Amino acid sequence: MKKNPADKKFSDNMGAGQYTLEGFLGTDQRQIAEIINEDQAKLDQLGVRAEDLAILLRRLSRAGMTGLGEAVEYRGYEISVDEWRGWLGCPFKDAKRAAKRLSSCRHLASGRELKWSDLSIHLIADHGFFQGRGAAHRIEPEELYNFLLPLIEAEAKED
Amino acid sequence: MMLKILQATISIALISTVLAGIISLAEKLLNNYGRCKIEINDGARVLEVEGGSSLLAALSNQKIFIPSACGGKATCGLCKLRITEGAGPLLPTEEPYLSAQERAQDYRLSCQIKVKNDLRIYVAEELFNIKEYIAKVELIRDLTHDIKLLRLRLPEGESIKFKAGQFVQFYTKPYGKVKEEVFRAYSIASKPSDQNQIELMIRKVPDGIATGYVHTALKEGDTVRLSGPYGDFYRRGGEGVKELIMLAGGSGMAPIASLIRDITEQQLDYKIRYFFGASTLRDMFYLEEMAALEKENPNFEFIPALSRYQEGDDWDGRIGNVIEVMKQEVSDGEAKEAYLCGSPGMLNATVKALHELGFKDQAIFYDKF
Repeated sequence: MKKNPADKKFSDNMGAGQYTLEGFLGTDQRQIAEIINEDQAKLDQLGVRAEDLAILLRRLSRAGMTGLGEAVEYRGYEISVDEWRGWLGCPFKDAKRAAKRLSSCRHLASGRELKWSDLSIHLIADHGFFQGRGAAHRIEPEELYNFLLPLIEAEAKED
Repeated sequence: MMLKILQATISIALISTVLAGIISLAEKLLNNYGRCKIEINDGARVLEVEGGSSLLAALSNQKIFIPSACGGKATCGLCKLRITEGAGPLLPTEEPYLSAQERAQDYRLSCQIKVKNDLRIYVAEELFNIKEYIAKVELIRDLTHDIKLLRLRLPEGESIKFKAGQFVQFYTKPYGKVKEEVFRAYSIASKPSDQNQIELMIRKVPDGIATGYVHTALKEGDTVRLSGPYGDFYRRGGEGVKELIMLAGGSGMAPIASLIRDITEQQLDYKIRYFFGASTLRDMFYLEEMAALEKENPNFEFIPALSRYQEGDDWDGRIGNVIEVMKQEVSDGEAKEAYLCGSPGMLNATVKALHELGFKDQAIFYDKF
């Protein structure tokens, strides 16, 4: 499929070796808009918004950061955050930057594990972009939803 | 019927080719900015460059090196310059890095300014002393599972003059999927008196382009491009200061090692306590080098701390988070300065702890990139 100019500009930024070694598209041949739209359709089915999932990821990461590299327990999850010096820019060129930070999280009851970067949180929150299939930090929306569901349900009870 | 389909296909292909040619020609014409003048410091220097690249790159091509830790991606904010004419309106990518005062004084990020007309800019005099070097990789040594030490030898007769704590910009070459050169900032670990070589400590960043190059592609005997020195992280030794508290983790060892080696060599009369944090034994390194420095300098004490001690670990040093260990050992900020190097989270937590101990901001030093 022919790429539209805006999509091409961003997909160039997202290629391997541009912002990160492996890039954000993996082996996915779809246009960025298609990736976003298909993931949005899945979120619609689940009845959840990308930005709300990102808020929870950020909350978990912030809790993890207090451990300064050591694992911290937060509301049924164990989370540790590794950090490196420097910053990563957003491939959508929106003037945002993310710390080079990687959160590793385990839901204690189910044993489910998930990893995400600070840049992934930004891409999900501000662009609804979960990255292409095969990308190092691609998170399937449904997998993310299921991982965060205990936290979503716990917070819903408190409201 | 088939003939008509063939004719239509050929027609569409021809039209597409002509359109592509027109677009390509238009791009060339529209993006051809011709020769542009860059007037520096009220005419002290005038450069004539081909338009189209970033100001940061255009200056670098003219051997004027502006500090940048991110390689021109607008994420570090180090490449600020005053540009009083020709820069155009402020770009959204610059906004997060420029204060109201800096905007009023015409500061801009040189990596974001495209040279497409004449420019009038101001460059701090000391930046003209920054040089470019082509160095030979003399040694690559594993310090830990994810940190490598590089020793880079400058060509015979060339030397680099730097202050302990400063950094260089290290330029990678295309490798694997990486098609373009990138550069990043790395602190110098060796002492300033070693002017013919420098040592760097580079920790692998997952999915990182530059650190990936060092960890997977670079070999002993290769040549690499460097520029430097840069940065204002160096020993101040303000009036009345008697003790230097140093704290680092991971590759943050590099500038601190340089500072301690320099102080030791110069036999400066400071008490130094250096707190170094590592998670596990496999993250701990430079114990022998630090022990040797302790022997050489009786005023220096190295205090490594292991936060994730496991039963059976061959470890008789401190156990726990290095910031907590520092808080147990340092009672106040009286007559002290602090020098820090580590990840942003570690720096924030350490600065907070130092404030609680009574350290003023003016006595706390670290690189902000």
